[in-house]
Amino acid sequence: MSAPLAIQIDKLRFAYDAGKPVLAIENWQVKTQERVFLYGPSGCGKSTLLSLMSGLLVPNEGSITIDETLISSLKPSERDSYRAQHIGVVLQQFNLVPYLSVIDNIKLACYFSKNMDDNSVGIEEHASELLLKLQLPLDLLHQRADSLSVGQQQRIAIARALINTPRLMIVDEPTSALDEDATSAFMDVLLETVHSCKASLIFVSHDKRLSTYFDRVQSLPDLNEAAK
Amino acid sequence: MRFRVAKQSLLNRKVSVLLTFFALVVSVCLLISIEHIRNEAKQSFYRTVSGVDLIVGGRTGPINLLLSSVFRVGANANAVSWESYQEIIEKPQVKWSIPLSLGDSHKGFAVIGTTNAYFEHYRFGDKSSLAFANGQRFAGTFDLVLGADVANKLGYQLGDEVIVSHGVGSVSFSHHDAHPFKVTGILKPTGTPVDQAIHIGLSAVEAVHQTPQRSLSRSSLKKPASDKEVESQTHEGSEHDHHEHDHHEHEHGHHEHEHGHHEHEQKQADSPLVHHEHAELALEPSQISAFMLGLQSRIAVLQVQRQVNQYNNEALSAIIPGVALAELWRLVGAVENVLRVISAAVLIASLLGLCTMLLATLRERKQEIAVLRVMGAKPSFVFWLIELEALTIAAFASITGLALIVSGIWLSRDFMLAEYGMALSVDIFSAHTAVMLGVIMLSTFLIALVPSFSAYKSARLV
Repeated sequence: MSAPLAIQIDKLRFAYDAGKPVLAIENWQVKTQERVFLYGPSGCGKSTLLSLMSGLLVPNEGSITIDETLISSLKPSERDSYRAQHIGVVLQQFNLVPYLSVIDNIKLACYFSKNMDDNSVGIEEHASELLLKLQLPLDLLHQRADSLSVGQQQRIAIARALINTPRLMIVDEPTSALDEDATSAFMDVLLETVHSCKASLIFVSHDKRLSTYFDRVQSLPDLNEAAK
Repeated sequence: MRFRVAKQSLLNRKVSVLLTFFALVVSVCLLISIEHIRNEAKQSFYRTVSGVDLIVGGRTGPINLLLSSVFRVGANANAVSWESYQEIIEKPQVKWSIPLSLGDSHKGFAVIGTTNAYFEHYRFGDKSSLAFANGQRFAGTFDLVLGADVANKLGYQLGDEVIVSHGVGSVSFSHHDAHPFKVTGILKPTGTPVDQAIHIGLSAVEAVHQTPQRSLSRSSLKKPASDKEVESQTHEGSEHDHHEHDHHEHEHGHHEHEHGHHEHEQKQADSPLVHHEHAELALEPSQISAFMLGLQSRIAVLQVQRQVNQYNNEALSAIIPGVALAELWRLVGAVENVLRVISAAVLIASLLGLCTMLLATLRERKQEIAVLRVMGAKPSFVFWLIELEALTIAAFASITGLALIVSGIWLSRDFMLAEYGMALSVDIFSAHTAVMLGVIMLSTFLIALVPSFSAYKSARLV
């Protein structure tokens, strides 16, 4: 048997409205701990694919298997639980509940993954470790999320996504609001922390310059038969 | 965690949350205080008379008779003749009786002619009897016992001499200067119309009215102070003139019966009016306005009531106070329903405000909901988050409302008692209040379903 796959997509079809298909992927795989750079122009269905992989959307046809779990056929509430426990998602911006403190955002992620039986001191310690890895000052923990700079918020989003030690990280254009220096700093800490957490990584961007950080580069238009 | 998120979310929108909160506090206050005052008013209303089995008067409607005999409002034109009174209280079922002669006034307070049986048998509230704050019952003919409010407002004290006039109204038509009364007793407050009454002996009423010629001629000679006064009194005056004549036409006949009546008086009161040193005490009224009856057993009530209503010699009405009170309350009760409808409308308006506030913030919360979903929240989490926020506002508004009412009553109850004779209890935590609070929370929940479902739907589409 080969090593388990992080992602396995088969005969996937998806359309928001009946008629015009947005995605059609015959077969696509990501190996465990592989770091994949997925790129394509805006509007080619990148975000839709991420929503499907994270279980926020369900394919019209075909299947998506994450780490041996067929999430496309889970019940909605099971899909939500699965996402909370095993998939870390970081979006372009607005990754935190603005009126909660940083630590409350992180605790909320634990709450959804039912890891709340970890005592909250344990969560705080774990969060502090992650903040150190992300090169963030620890006093951010008790500040309101919306009082942080965008770059800080994006790094906190990584911490929040990694707190439950997910098997899969899905990251969507996380650097679009960052300047060049901040971007490279962000990419460094992202790849390092993901690596140390032994998670697989799908990184989506339209900026091909970032592809140098990754094991594998995949163009979505090449993959997506609906775009041809 | 859910509570923490809801709390922080509310704190994040302080201004709109506070405004919604105050609107709800106002409606909670209205709803609970109206319910409370309604209850209290009903209680004190039903407390006005108790322990009286029947009230008998000249033929009239039950509410009329109750109003004139208990509340001293309006007058019953039909009197009861003294013979009928004696005959009815002779019945074996009758335990005690209180004769009442109404229609006189002093400085706007009702003057009630009665006997010491009144202080003996009259009950209010939970069968409490009348107690004296000062002094005692009637001893002589021209003795006078004041209700608590009368003593308070007019500043009368024991031993003061008071001149009682004939007729109702603060400026009376004819003054009986010839008969000053002496204050011998002041009653403790009861929170009933008794507080507003001046009690004199039945025979004193008769003595006051005994000199009609003199007082009539005096009053007709006396020039009124102003035309206005004449206008306001003309109607009243002419009525009472007739009344007076009626009284005195019968008077001669009754002196002959004097002897026989002594026995009856023994029965009607423990300490009869008859004091031999006063010649006037022998006077007997030709008629009284009404009388209250206590019966040997409650079972006899309907029987005696029927007998009185079918009494042959005179057209009489007998009413059961509790039944008549309930009937009267039903009339008054229409007003309380209007108040309830108004406060319910205010509640609905402020709940709609709450709903609008939550719906309006949903737009700016779209991203927040998306974040929650990405973190693994189920759509139901978002649904309950919005519900929880609504219910938290309502719960705090209810607590604040209750606290405001309690402190409001606490601060105003002396005033309410002094000005309106309304004894408000601070204890608002009745089953009624609990039901009201339940209704408030339930309607909050129902109205918050609108924004909650809207949030739920947008959460599913993320």
